Amino acid sequence: MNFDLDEDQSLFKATVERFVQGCDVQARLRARKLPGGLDRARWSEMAEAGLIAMAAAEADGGLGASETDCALVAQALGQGLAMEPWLECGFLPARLLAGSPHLEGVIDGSVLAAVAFAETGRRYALDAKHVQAHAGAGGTVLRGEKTFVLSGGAAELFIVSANLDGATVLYAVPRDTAGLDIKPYPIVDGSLAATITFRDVAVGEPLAASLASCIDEAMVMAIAEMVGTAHRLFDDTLAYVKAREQFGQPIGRFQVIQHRMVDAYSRVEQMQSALYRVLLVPEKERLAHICGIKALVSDDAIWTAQQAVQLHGGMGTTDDLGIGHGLKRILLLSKLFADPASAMAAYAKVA
Amino acid sequence: MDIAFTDEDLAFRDEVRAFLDEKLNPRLREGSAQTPSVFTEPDITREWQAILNEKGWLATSWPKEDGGPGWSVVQKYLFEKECAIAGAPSVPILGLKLVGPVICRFGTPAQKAHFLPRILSGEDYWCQGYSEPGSGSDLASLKTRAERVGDKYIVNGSKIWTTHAHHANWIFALVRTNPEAKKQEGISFLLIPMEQPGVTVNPIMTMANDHEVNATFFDNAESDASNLIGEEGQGWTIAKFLLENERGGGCAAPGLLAQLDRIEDYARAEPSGVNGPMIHDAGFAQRLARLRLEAQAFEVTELRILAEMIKGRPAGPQTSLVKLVSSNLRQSIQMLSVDLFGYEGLQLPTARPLYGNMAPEPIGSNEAQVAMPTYLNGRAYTIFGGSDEVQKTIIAKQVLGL
Repeated sequence: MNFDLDEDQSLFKATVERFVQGCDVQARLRARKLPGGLDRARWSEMAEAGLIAMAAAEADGGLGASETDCALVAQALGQGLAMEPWLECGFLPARLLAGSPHLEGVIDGSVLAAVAFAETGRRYALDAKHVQAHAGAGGTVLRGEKTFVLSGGAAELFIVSANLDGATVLYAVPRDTAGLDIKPYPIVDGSLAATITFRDVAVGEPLAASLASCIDEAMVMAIAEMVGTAHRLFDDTLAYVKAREQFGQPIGRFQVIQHRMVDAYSRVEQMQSALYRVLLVPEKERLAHICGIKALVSDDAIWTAQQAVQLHGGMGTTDDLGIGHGLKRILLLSKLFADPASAMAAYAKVA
Repeated sequence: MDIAFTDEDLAFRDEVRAFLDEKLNPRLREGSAQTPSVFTEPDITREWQAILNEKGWLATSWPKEDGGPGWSVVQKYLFEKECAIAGAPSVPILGLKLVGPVICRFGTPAQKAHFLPRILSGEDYWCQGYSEPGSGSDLASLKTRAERVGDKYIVNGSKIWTTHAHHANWIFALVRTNPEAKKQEGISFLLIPMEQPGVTVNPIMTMANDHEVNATFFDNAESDASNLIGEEGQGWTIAKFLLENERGGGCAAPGLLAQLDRIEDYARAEPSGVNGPMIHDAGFAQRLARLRLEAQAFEVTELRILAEMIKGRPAGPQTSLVKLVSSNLRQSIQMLSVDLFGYEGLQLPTARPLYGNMAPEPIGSNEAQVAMPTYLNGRAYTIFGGSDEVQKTIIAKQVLGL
């Protein structure tokens, strides 16, 4: 038994730690004002460091990193409060585009890909209903609407789930394809999601990947990023309560603050162990197990982030500290693919 | 024991209800519903203020001789309750509910004659200068200095979390007039005009994307000595009066219950994505039910305090309990609202306001659009006006004798 990082893992972690050094709040606020709400130079830098390629198989020109390696990167990105949508526009597209000619541009960072899996009124359901794929003599066209396409405001390529004869399949759709109507809107982590309407959008053959199994892996990455983010908020808050003085002493000297920090510490340690459990312990009902752990980690991460805001006082409620940005990213991740209630319900059914 | 209001009070309630029904136009209702904060912007509040002022129902917490409506504590409560249920906008509370009662209680006849009518008319818009970067929960450590020079005070220092300072032409501030005296004893309550070269207001953006609070800097700012309220060194006493006056006779529960009603209405329409609407989702329905029971119990807690006030007893440290319970209940309700709307609850517009012709188009409903801004803005409820930690210390010491 050994929980130490191996050589590759240490290398990936160090790469991310270097990458997130330039990611302070001011850089984040500047990036959000750029077209698409995203700093493409940093995205390219991330790609050059191999952080997208790691999620693709070696046979596809990727680095073929393990799920654990990828999760450690997700955690380090969370710990660094990275503003890049690695999970939703890096990891997930790299998985979904396995074997596709579109993969190369995604891996080298020249093409930003966004995944259109959500539909209005269907909450966290992942089977496609509102976008239909119609196969005819002249080829296949997509009709319908997707919503909550993360970084859809910036992406050049969309990976769209559609209903083809009752089955959910995936298509790669470049942004400039005729018949796409893209409406971007700002969401909680400061990025631009989009609602996309498809009007007889011509597409090629479906992708080979399965949406459901790739989403399972992406949920593990969401867990890992939440764990990293919660760690960071805890660390920043611990430093703050040691430094902030009121009533003639650091507020961390008050017992109520000490006990609150211990509660947060215990939750963060539990979250870390929950992540290792999902990575290291094989379970028969893997999907349900991932859902259960995502529900658990989401609840604890939200609690930890809310406490980080509370203990920072007024400063915690501003956009000037990383604290609020961490809370907002956790809120997004906690609902990505399933919210804590629906994820826990899925787990409880089989547990 | 009896929880009913008198027939007279109920007749008053009906009068208020009819008035609100008539006067709350769609613009005011929308402005109120689509504001993430307890502080509504002046474009909405000024219109509502003028309507209430014309009726004589504006300064509900002022004595009749100073321009108040002369209501009993029950009438005040019923008015607040009906406003909350009807979804009326808030009035500019910093002038009307905070500094106004202070001027009524501690002001000289000249100060009353000058300031009170201008608060009623809306000519003056007030902000509050209490907290400082180094003085939050430990307010009495504040450092902003006001030095008497001739017939003026010269003010130097800074205040933070000055809500709506960017709209205000006056600030009421706690300042240190005697640096030699013990902490609380050197503090005075000074009114300072904002429109002068020595005052600078810098915006602070919140994580909800609201510009609501500011940092306000005083660099040799001036105020006439006649703008001091009470005596030098009396500031702490006045500040405590202001806080207790603000909290006494609270009426938070009806608004919370109205919010839960709205959530339930939406939950009947909002698809669960699995099986029927969200109201049929067992987990969601139980959270809603639990919060409703808590809000109903809290309503009775507020009525118990009201009953004491009817007998002429001051509200006392129980107001800390009210602040504690209502803040946490409100935050739970705000989280429920975010959770109700699924992915649509994650939209967070950068533009403001969220009402009127310039409002960004919502993804889904208006209620979904305002859910996340309201939740994020609401994290401040357990921090401002004395944090949860401060309230608990007050209760531990003053109520429990620990």
